[in-house]
Amino acid sequence: MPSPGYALGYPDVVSTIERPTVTGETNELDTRRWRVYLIGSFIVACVLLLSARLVYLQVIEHAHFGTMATAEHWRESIIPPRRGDILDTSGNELATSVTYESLYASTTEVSDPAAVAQKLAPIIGAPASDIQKILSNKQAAPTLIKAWLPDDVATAVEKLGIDGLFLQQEPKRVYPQGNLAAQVLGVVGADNNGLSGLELAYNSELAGKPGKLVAERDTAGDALALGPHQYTAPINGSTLTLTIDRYVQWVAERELEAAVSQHHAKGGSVVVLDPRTGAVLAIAGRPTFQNNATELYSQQNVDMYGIPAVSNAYEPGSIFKIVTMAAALDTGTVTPNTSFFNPGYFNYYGGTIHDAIGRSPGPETMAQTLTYSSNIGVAWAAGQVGAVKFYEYAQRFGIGRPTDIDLPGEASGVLRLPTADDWHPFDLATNSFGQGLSVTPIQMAAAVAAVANGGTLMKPYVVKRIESPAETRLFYPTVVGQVIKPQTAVTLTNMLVQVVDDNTLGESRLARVPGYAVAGKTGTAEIPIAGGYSPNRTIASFAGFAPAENPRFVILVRIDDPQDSPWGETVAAPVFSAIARQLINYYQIPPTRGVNANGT
Amino acid sequence: MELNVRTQVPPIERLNDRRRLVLALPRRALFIPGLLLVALVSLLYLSQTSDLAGTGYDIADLQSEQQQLQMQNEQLRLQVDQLESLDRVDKEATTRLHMGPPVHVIYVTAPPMTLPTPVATTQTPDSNRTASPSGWLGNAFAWLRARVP
Repeated sequence: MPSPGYALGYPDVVSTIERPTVTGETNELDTRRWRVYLIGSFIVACVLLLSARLVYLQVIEHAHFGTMATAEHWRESIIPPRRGDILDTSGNELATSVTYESLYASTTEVSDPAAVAQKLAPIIGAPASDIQKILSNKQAAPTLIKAWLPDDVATAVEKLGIDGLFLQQEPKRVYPQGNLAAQVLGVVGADNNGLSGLELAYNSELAGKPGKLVAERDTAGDALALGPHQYTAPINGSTLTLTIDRYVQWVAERELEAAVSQHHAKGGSVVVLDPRTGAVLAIAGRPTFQNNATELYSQQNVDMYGIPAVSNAYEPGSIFKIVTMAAALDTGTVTPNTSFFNPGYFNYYGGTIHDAIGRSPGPETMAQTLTYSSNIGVAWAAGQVGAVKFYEYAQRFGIGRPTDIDLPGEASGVLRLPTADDWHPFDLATNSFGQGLSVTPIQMAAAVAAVANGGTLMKPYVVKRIESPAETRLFYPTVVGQVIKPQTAVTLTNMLVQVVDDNTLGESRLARVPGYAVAGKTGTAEIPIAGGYSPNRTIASFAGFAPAENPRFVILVRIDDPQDSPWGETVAAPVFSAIARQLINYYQIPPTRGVNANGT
Repeated sequence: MELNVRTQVPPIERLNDRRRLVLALPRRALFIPGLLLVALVSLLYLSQTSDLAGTGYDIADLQSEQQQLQMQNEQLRLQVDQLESLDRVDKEATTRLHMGPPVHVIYVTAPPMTLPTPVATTQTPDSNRTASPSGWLGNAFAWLRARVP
């Protein structure tokens, strides 16, 4: 029923203000009001809760979640530097780094390992069972299936489009010349750091410095090319240029390998030096490891990482007579024509010296002493020189201390001086013909090179240039000292030429090179064992240089424990001759003397 | 009775109404073009952003291709070095080409070379040039000379 006011045309004020209330309606309103309060309170509580959570996330845990967010959106990747090359003296690559693609698998994403293995096996050349075994071992981290795939193989794998497989570019250290100079070049570990040889000695120069790319990434995890980024370029490793000539190295290794095989020897070394500079032209060693072998890091290979010519000291034997005679000549104690009576034995401070090959007693000149490789003769000469001068000269020639060649693992050898407690005067006699002391092949080669170089001892070195993008470092020949007078060097050279030329009892005939004057000396050293020397094991060696008038190279050959002949003349001298002939052709050195009908 | 509204509204209020009408019309007229402009700018922005993203992916692809080509180049360079290695050259020379090492090397001593003595001459570089022009003009001069005494 309408209110009275409505009928009069006035607003229904009375009805709204003075509306009669009923108890039931009041309860309903209260209920609604409470509902509103409840919902409002709930909303406020939710807002407060969310706000608190927001404060927790944004303020209290800001650093933690900030880092997570950055890691989610930003990608920091290390850019590995390219390891530097190693070149021979003419710029031929001996060691380089090549990028290959390695095959990895996210094993959790590979649904059917057997089927995938069957598809992959013929392409990557691995047994399907091995691949299946790898894929079946579910791991969170990516698993390597095969490293360093050639480009065509990697392309074929990519075409398969198998989920869970991916290719990753990785550098590999390779040696294009095969196994040439493997011990000198050395080995690089899986972490791209050098483990031996030049790779170890010059690791800081070769390795370079890694770069870094911090960039925003897309949903696939790839860096956005035009997104914000911070790029630090990697610094590639320096390039090493060696003094080693790959042809000389190849010849030395080939002839050494043939000799070791022919004489069933345990091993051997060859060192070739340029006597004028001390530059190493070749360092060969046997046995050696295969630098491209899959089992490169096996214990068997690790045992052969060293460079025998640098790290293996041995008793040099008669080759050391060169040093003794140099001391005797330079001090003016003897001349080539100085004669003494050789009775066939030599008593000295309670010990007796004999020659390796007995001869009739009689007069003997110093020239003949070298030619016949007489132990008695050099012991007598050393006695004339005296211990003080003898050891002084031995030290001048660098015996008993490292040459400081730029290769790792150099041994110093042993030279006991008269001041040592265990030195005995008889040691002077035995030391004079290379017993009771030890040298490395590089030491002995450097000493012989001093004679070839007019008495000037040069420091042997292997690296002649290091080039980086920033600078080029050059290494020049280093003079160690004038160890004997130039005239003494000439006299001694003539005596050594006579050693090789002698047709009577000379022990070095097989070292000859037709048409050229060769100076040299053999060595046959017994191998020391506990309590003395082995009766049937020797180290056969030869050291010499050519052409004697203007030496271009010094060669030292050492053959360990040859089985068919113990002598330096028959085992080592032919190796010297074979190498020298090829080097003379290589360097195009015209003959210095006529060739006889018998080819000498 | 007809009610004249205008007469009832004060003149100042009528003026304000007119102004409101005048101001309201351009607003309505500009709303649609403004909206279109905003839409256009938004489209342009989207288009540019899309192009930028596309270019970014193109660059990423090119970078990837460059890396692939560099990798192939390194591998090919290695193959060249391996083919030029002394072991391989020696093997090819001895087995396939049946070559051998030099046995007798002969060094020929050449007599000292005598260089030809330069002939003394008074000619200057230009002295051998003729005064007459060459070519068809020269031929014409020669023809004239032959006929003119």
